[in-house]
Amino acid sequence: MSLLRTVATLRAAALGRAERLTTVRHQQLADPPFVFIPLALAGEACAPLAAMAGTDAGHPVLLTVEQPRDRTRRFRFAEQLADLLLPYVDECRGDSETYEAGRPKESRERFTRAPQILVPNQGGIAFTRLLGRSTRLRRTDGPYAVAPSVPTLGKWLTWAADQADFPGSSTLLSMTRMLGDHWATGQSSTEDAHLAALLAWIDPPPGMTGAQAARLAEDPARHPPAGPATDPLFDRTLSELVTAYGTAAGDRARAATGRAIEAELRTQLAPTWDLMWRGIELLRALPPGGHVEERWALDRALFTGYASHLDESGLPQPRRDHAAGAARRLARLEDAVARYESQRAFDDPLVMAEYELSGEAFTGTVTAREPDRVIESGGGGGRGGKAGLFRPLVTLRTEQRPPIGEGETVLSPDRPGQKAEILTIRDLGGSDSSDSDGGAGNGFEADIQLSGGFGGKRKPPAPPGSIPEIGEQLCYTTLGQYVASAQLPDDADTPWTHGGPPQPYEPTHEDAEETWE
Amino acid sequence: MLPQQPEDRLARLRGPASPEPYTARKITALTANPACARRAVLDAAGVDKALLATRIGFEPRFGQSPFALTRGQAFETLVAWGGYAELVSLLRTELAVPVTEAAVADLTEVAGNSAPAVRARETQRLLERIAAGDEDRLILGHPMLTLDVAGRTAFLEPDALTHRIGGRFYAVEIRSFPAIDGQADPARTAEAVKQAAVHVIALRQAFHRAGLPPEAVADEFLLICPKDFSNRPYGRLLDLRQELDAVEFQLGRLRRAADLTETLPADASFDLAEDSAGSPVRDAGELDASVGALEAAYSPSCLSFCEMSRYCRQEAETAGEPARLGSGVRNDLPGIGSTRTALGLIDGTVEPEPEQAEIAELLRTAARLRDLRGGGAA
Amino acid sequence: MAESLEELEARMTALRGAVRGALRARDKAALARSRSELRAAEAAWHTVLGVAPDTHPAAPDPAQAVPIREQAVPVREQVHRALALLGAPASPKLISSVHEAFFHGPLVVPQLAALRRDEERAALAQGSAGAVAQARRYHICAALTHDRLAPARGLLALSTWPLERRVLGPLGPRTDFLTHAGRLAEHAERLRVSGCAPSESGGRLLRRFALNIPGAHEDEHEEPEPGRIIAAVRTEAAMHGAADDRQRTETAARARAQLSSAQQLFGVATLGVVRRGTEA
Repeated sequence: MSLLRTVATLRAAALGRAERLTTVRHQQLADPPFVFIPLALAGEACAPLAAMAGTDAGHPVLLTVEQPRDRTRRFRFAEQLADLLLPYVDECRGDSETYEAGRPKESRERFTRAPQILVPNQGGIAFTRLLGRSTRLRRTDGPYAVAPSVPTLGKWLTWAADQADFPGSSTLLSMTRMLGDHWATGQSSTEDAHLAALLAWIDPPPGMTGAQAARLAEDPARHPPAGPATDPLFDRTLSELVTAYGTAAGDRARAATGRAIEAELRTQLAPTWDLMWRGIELLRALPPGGHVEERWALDRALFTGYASHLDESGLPQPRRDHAAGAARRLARLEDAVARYESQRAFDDPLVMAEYELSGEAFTGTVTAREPDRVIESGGGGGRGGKAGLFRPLVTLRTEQRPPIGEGETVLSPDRPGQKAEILTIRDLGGSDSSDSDGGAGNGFEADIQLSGGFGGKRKPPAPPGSIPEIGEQLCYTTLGQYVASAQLPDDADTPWTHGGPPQPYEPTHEDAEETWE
Repeated sequence: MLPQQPEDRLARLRGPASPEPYTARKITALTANPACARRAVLDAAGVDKALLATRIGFEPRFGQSPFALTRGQAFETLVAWGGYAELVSLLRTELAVPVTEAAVADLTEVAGNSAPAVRARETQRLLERIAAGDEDRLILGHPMLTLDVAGRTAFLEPDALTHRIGGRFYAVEIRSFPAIDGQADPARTAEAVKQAAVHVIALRQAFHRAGLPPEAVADEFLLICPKDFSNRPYGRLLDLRQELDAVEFQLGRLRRAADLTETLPADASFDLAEDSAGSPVRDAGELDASVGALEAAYSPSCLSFCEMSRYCRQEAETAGEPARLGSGVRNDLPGIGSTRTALGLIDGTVEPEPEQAEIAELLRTAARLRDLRGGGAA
Repeated sequence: MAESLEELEARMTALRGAVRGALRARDKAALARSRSELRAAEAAWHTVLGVAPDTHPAAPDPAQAVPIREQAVPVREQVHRALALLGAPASPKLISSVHEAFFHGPLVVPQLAALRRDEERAALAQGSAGAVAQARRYHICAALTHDRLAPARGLLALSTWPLERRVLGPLGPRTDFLTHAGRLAEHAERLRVSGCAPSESGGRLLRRFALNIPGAHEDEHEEPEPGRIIAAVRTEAAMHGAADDRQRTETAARARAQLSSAQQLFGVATLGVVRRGTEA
């Protein structure tokens, strides 16, 4: 945890109200998202018990499994979920747009929308992954056949769960993580995993502090757990009803017991449904960060790619990742984490403050500028009629000594397309060590040389606004200069040490008939 | 006056209720938070912590689902079905046990008697005979082992033992959480590993009592859980060495649990009995004061397993303990014992001690940056 | 005014919540109150629905209810035919599964567990131990442990079997398991020859046996093959045969020498159990 977050946590605890960790929203919110709140049967690997799902806050759809141990009913649950999710996914495949990408550049198509699944917590993501695993390898013919929509659902859920490992992806997100990324509460991260308590800190009801509201929200009688685990005491009620359902005398009694089970499960899900939409509302109120749209475009491109994979071969994801696939995935993941972190900092001064604190960024005010500065090209000093290089200079005044050394290349979030180099740093005096607690003395000055970002101009004058003005506040950082990850061989060139080129995964009999008990 | 026997003191603290059994789970919970004297004493005294917490107004928020319970029992029944047929198969296919090996012993009861002490004697007797070569068993079902914990005998029941893998004894733990594509839930596996370690320690003590070499008990154990989404058992040997050291160390500390009661006032009591009219003999205030007199070491992870945790959380909050906000906050505030001090250092109302100067400066910088860059209340 | 079904159901949901609240707070008085209100509401609900509350609470599944004609067969008779098919002492659960797979529907397991004690009481009531075997054609009795000659936990056996088949040495559970497997496979084979398709539960049961005997199954997902199971059972049984037989002969001889004929059926520790049972 960073010290900034610690300060925010301390203040939130003292005030009894959550503190902002960001000034903008760093995740995309699709319009509409697909909200999915699964409940699982305790003690089972992945036995769905119920779910509340849908894209309209006013119209939650409740799915229930009256006999959670019955395999056929589980598949019916999967079918019902598929009936909700697959049309939503299909709707996203309406309009598409053309964009350029790749090396060499080529024209590609991507959909203008992409599905987004929101679950309450990390457990919801794990459940989504398991539900995907238990349905994607099923056969739609022969013995143990399931409805065609079931394996399709499984493939999409697995795909979404795989995306969820990438921090910049907005395909499958948990509400607790999203809220926790944007706000610090006055409680621990363990307690923040409880959606109702977390939201209570951020958005307490009138007349109550967040701290008080969070304590009340922990009471399972007021706020049932947000799943997939259920309240063990509730399970007692449910277990009695499930037994009664199995032994009910006649259809009328069974139907009535089924209704009671549904009513009970609704009491456990409805409060979380409301919390999910309240969370969405709070997040929507934050302005989106500058890179959110760019990352969402990637999500849309990946969605487009997977949709066409399903149209073409449609083979499901294998049980286990192939060695080369796993290595490539890991490299992509590391890359994505670094990129996401730096984009967040560029989009958000409050996130950048972390890097200012850790010495990877600093902020100062422009006190002087040489907008028409041209320097000699090449190091040799030869002039021979060669045109000089257009390299404007700005001088930044800072309170503390800039933590980044002379000669380093830096970027500014305010002008991301403009490279800069720190030429010199001067101590303006009055800040000798004997005066340590007396403030920063007269401060420091840094001369920063700019290159590029002048609207294509190679000589002065630069277009107005392309060079920082006097009095402007600027942040410079070493972040944002990603090094592309080492190129890994293509699938077809996978060395034998890593299993050789992967074979496309065809589900076996065993996969298709795998019991789901 | 003679010094009081520590066990007497623990029993007196508990009152007339019969002690809660000391399970492997309780022992491993102590190793999760070894510094907590509160839990150590309450468990050593055999106090019903859930009831105690409820009496003082902090009823525990967890319990066991009947579904989980049924599932656990059903899976164990399945593994034991047909003379442990599933387990026998697993040992043969995964651990190369020859087909000629099939002898089993069921130690669930001894001629109709299922008293723990009787079963423990029978288990010890059989272990000695097997070790002496007088008997052979591929599987010992539901053996009963004993372990001395804080002056009390804990009866521990591993699901099974086997002594036919390379001639050594292995504890067998049957769990109903699945291994999906060979991967089981890490947290639950870790808990099973800890409990197996407790069982192995007890088994080694049984060997020691019988004058047998404790090395004959393997420092691995066999974990059995359902494969994927099915009911088919899946088994794997897991290493125990690290946990054995950890649990042994904790047990060493635990033996001094009785000493921890010395700090308690003479009138302290955790007596949860009720009088004939059904009202508690000790009111909530008395119980609260007694619990408060025991030192706790609260951290948010306690919330997931300890019945007393919500009480301790409240206490930690009142005291402004940084640890209640998580280990991140605690580690960020070295040498600062209270969140109030930390806040005071930030806004300058508290003068830092010399050793706090550096962290105070850092905190102030961080706070100033937050203010400058747009941080604030939600 | 009478509540509507919806109102009633809403109240029942609220009351179930109140029961949980009382359980959580360990409030006995509130718990008793909420429970009795819930029971009253449930009764009213049943009335509104026009159904009797839980008519047969323990019936395993209404779809598989035992046909009327079958109910005429006493439980001990049903247990007898399952055990006769299995050929070795078995647990109530297995007996029930076998009855479901090869006869008519599952049996109620707790009822079977009580059966042995009932049989024992009946046997003792008939007085003279010598008359035990004659009085009834057979008894559902116990299997005996080899060391203490006590009734083995949770196993039922037939009194018509020789003692050797009813005693249980260390290898006993395994050899009995193999006996069960072999006998069920033979039965399945007979059914096949006579043109009867095996029931689904029969196939499932046989497969569970087959999966746990080396060489008895080829593929986890193929239908079990009775012939293959029988051969595999013979192979493994031959490995345990000598040691197991020796143990059985020795134990049976000891039992004949030391036990009364009633004890030979129900084991030695059993008198105390009966006494406790009747006092209660």
